[in-house]
Amino acid sequence: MRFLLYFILCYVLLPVNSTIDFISIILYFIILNEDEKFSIAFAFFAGLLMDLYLPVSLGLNTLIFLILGQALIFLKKYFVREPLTLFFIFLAFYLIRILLLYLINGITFNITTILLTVIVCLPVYYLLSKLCFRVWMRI
Amino acid sequence: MSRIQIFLFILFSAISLIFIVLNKTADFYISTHLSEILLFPVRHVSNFFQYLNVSQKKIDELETRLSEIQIENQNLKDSLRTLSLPEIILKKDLRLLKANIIGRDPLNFNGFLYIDKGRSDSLDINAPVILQDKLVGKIKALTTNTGIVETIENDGFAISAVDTRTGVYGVVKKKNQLTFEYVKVDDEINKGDSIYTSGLSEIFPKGIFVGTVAKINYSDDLFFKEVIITPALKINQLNYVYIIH
Repeated sequence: MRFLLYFILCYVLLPVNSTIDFISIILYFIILNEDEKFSIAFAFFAGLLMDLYLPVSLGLNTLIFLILGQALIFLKKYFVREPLTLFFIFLAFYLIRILLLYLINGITFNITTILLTVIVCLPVYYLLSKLCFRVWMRI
Repeated sequence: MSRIQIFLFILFSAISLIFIVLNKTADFYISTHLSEILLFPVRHVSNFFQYLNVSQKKIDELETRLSEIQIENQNLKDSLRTLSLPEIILKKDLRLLKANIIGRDPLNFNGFLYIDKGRSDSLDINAPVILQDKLVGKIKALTTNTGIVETIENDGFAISAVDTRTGVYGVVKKKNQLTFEYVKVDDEINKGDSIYTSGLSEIFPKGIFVGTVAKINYSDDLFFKEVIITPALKINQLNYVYIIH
């Protein structure tokens, strides 16, 4: 059931993704909490949706999400799930994504979008945890 | 890391790379077809929000138009109030015809007025004559192009009237003075009360201002008191009048 929720959230939040990057937060949550195969599939799907909704270069977001997702899958067993760590890892994940988009295709992000995304990442993460697993934090 | 995971990663990465290296035509073709399938729910939601947005704009436009019409309506009402036409005339949508005063009876200067409208203007005998919301009189005689107005200042002129404050009915008559007759001794009527036409007449509609109570005399009459009225208009100052027809 929660897998359906991820897809619904993805579609619902896609129109506002240019203001707050909810899809990156959802993907981050899925990578840390769900099965690895599903995480990879979702990374591809979410990236493709973003590429289609705001077309710049088809496949670019998809590829970046796949690479960063796979990297996070490798790393996730090495860090503890506590708020500050989660926050800084998301920050790194998100900033690398922005940096890659800028370097590959020259896409610039609005600073307000970046700040808002960074600010809401932990609350959204906890909310998703509560919605999907009925606990505020999975250890 | 399972084999399936590696396979998925390589597969999706390969697809992504293919998408990236595609030329613009193929890219556009794939994007269009994939969008139709994958973004179908989003488009539905977007269309709904667009519809709401358009509806909101339409509502805003209509509200603006409504405000403009309300202001226009208020201005028109104010204009009508300035004209001070009796409400009954406004409500019944009676027509008014302006007539200029072209002469007066030298023997009864304020009793009869000659006007420049006649039968050719579809006027009838006894048509009420007013100015603003005030009573002037009624048409007494008509020729083809002129008419004679009998004013409330003419001796013998009578009209059914009412004190709007107390609701006392009576008849306004011109004898030596303009009097409000048939007011009983115990009827409440005070100096300064406004007297309007009562509508109990086939000639005059209700609500035309006749005059104000100037004086109340208690005579030897056991039943009625004498109520003197100051006319609403000074007939000798009129230049034009309106005829209700």
